[in-house]
Amino acid sequence: MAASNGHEKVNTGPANMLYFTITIAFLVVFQPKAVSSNQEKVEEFFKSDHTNNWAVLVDTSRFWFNYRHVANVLSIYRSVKRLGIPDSQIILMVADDMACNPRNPRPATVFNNANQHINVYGDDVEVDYRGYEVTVENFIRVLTGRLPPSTPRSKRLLSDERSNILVYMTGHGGDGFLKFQDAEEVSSVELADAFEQMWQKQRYHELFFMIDTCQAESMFQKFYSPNILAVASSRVGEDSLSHHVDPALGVYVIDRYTYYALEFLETVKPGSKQTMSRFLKVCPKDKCISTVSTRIDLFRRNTTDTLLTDFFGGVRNVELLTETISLKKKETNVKQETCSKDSCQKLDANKKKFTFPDQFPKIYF
Amino acid sequence: MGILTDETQRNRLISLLVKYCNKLCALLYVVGLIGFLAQAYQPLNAGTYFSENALLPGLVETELPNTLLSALTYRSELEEAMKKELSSSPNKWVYEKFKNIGLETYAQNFSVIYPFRSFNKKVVSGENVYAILRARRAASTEALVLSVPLRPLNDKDNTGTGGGIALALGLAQEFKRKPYWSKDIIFLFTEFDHLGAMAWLDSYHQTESKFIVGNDLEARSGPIIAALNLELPLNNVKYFNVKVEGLNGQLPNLDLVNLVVRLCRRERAQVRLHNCLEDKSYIYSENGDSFDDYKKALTTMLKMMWHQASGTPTGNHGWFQKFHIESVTLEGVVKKRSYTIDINTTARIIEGVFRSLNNLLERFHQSFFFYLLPSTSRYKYSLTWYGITLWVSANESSKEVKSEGNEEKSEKVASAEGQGDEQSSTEEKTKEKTEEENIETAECIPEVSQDVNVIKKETVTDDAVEESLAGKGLISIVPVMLVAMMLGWMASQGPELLTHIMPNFRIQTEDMLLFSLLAIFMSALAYPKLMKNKGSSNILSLDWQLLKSVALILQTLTFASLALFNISLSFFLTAVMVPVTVVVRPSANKCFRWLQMFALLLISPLSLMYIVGLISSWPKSSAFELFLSAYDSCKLLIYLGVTDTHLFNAWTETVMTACIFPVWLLFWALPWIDVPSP
Repeated sequence: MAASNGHEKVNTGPANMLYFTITIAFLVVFQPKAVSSNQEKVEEFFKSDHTNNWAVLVDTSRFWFNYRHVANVLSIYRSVKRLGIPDSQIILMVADDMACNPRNPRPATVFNNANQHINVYGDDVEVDYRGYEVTVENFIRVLTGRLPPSTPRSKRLLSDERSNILVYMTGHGGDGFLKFQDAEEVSSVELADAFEQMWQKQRYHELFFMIDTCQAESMFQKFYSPNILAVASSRVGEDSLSHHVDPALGVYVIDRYTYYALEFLETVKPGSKQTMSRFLKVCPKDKCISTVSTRIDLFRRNTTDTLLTDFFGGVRNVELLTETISLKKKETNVKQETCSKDSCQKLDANKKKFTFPDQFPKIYF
Repeated sequence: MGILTDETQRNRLISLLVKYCNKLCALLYVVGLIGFLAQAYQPLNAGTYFSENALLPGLVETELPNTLLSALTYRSELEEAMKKELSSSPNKWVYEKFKNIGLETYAQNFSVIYPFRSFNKKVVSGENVYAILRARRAASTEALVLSVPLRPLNDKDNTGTGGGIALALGLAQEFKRKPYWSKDIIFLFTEFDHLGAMAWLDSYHQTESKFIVGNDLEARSGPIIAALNLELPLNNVKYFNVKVEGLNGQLPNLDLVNLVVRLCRRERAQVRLHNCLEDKSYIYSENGDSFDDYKKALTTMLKMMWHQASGTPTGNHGWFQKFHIESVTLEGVVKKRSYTIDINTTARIIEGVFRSLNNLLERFHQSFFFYLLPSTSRYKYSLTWYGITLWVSANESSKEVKSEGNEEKSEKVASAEGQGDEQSSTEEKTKEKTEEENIETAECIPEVSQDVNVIKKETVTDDAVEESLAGKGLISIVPVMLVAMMLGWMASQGPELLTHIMPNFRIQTEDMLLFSLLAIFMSALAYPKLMKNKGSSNILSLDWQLLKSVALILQTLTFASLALFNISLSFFLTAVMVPVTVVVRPSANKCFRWLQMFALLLISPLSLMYIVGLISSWPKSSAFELFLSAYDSCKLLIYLGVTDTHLFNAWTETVMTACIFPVWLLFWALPWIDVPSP
């Protein structure tokens, strides 16, 4: 049997119980000799307690000369998608439409490299919040789940207490704030409070915060909620620099930190055993010029034991067992109506058939 | 006055100020002057930089072919076409070529009606040609302009602009193929330089002018964001001049100037300001502080200020600035038998400028609008330090007010003075304002302040209070002021009126203007004398201290407000006029009196114009020739000044006649006032 990925709400509640059961099953099923070799597998299996992955990718700046920020965020989007997070679990916020900017000599494309290897604005990009929808309010609402009821599911962060969330932000920042578009900014305190609210509302299990702006470090200094791992492209007082220009476009196409992070991510495949600790060291000072800063004190696990794919991939640990494990039956108060082939028809017959009302009711004519 | 103010402290300051007033005045003037000129010293100014992120100058690679063959072909064709008709501009040719390229091409007729009645009244009519390259993927909401004046081949006063025309055609052909334009590009060719440009701009913005009448434009684009004007001769361009000075001393945004300079440097084309060669060391930090470098920079800065002070644009770009369109002129300077900048390099520079401008998302609003350039790559923000220096001179005037006008001195003045002594660059402007206002209120209500004075008399100062001859108060000086103002108004309106009223003398308009101004000036010179005779006692007796105070305040006000729109003009006027006007006073000594009158005559607006004429025609073989040519250029200057006022709404002439002249007249009255000999 396969360990359920527990995506449905019903299953997530007693998830601990489920894992406990599986552990017992392992211990019982395997021969004592095999225990030592299987022990590693078992440990690996339980390294992370998350059952689903989400990503919130935000580009906060608009205008043609900020092309690189859009390229940054689209590149990360491409990577997490490649590593297995589905579009339905990625909230992508892009503040400007570079692909359709009249200044773009290659319409409908966005490249993150002057060699134009990959069009990061490819065929299947789902932008959830675009243009002027990218506001501080929307961003905080998405994180905390306080969206108006009319918001479609694709625009919601439907995470739970078993969700690992990747939050990537890029734009223009300063000491203690990140500028959103030209009109507003999110402060580090607001962001920290939003994460705390998420924690209290059990909206995440672990959160990886990654930010590429000037003075990026200042954005995570105020965090106080547990299970957050954070990395920033530069220290307070430092600028984050761009990597290179595409002379055909006449703009910078990608930022240094994101560039080297992507270079690393490109080597990662689904199921890879790369750890977060290696990812955190991805851009040394001689490459980034700015000093990459990390914050691990809130994070409970050891980064050397934490897989990169815990945040960047939607990879489920699947083990096939030969034995059947009987799981405890869940008791529910709701009496479910079941029916077989014969009885269903009966039930259907009892049900009232719904029809659309007449457009021009006859009684009036 | 606050209840808690410690008056004894204040009074101590006042008495100190009064005691050392003259010394302080001289010191401030010298410090101000030196401080101002020292700004060209490299460590005191700053290197230029880009404020506008969107420009991204030079990041984009050129997409022009290595040799812009089309421009070369156009150039030779144009040369032939122009040789056929030496005395006419190649409007038709340009029109045809642009049609052939496939752009929307239009012609606009305009005529210029002469503002004065003159015997050889001529209506000048011309034709502008313009073509619009519509941006493919944008909605024609913004536009850039590449303008070239059309000049016939035999135009002796101006160099040809054939190179610019050929280049515009070649570039239009290239630009048309590109998909990346976010703004329309208008190629504008104006006949009669500024007249055509003005007519087109007026029609484009649907503003009406009385004297330049242009036909309606057949097609438009959006608001124009920036304009580049080209004055490139056909061949042999040795280096470029960047011309920035616009109408009434307006300057384009420094970012645009930087952009053009940067891109010229990138293509290794030499770029200068007013033909002044500059060293790399001056531009790029440390070693630029030698005296030679300073001298060069000072020359450049003074040249720039000289042109700015005139209030007349140095090129066609100046008329765009009137419509808040940032614009510069790139002038190619010809020098034979030396390394020349070829047309491909120039094409790449212009392409670069337009691609950077294409990146713009909003109007130029960053960087500076008020600056002085001691070099193409160094700048000085003119509203800070310059303000101070000017204010120092202004302050000086008000100092004098105090010392002269002891009678009217109230504590208000003194406190303002005390405030004024602390020089701080940021608060400078507001201080100046408050100071002036304080003084003014103090002066305008002498009765009140006198009352205050009565109480304060013992506490204020032990200075010997010089009693005025006939302390009649404000009323005594009102007639003088009225007459001065009237004469000022006559000087500004007179020439035009006279040309209408006068019988038809068969003289040139230039002469007529000069003579009419001269007549007004001469009659104005006699006004103190006339007023003298009017009285029964045959002496001009009035409260001269009050008159001088008012005159100084008026002068300060005029210069200070002038500095806000034309710092250079204000600086030159202050530097020249203040030392004389501060010293002038009635005197029993005849010699001193005559000396004063001579000095005053020397700084009168008309002689200033003549001095300007002298300076502009400086190197001449003989003194006589110099004076003669100075007379001619002075005449031309006045003529152009007056016509510019009518045609383009230039302010310089109005400022000189309606503001500076009456103020000067007030001072002129001072030596005429009789005082009893000691």
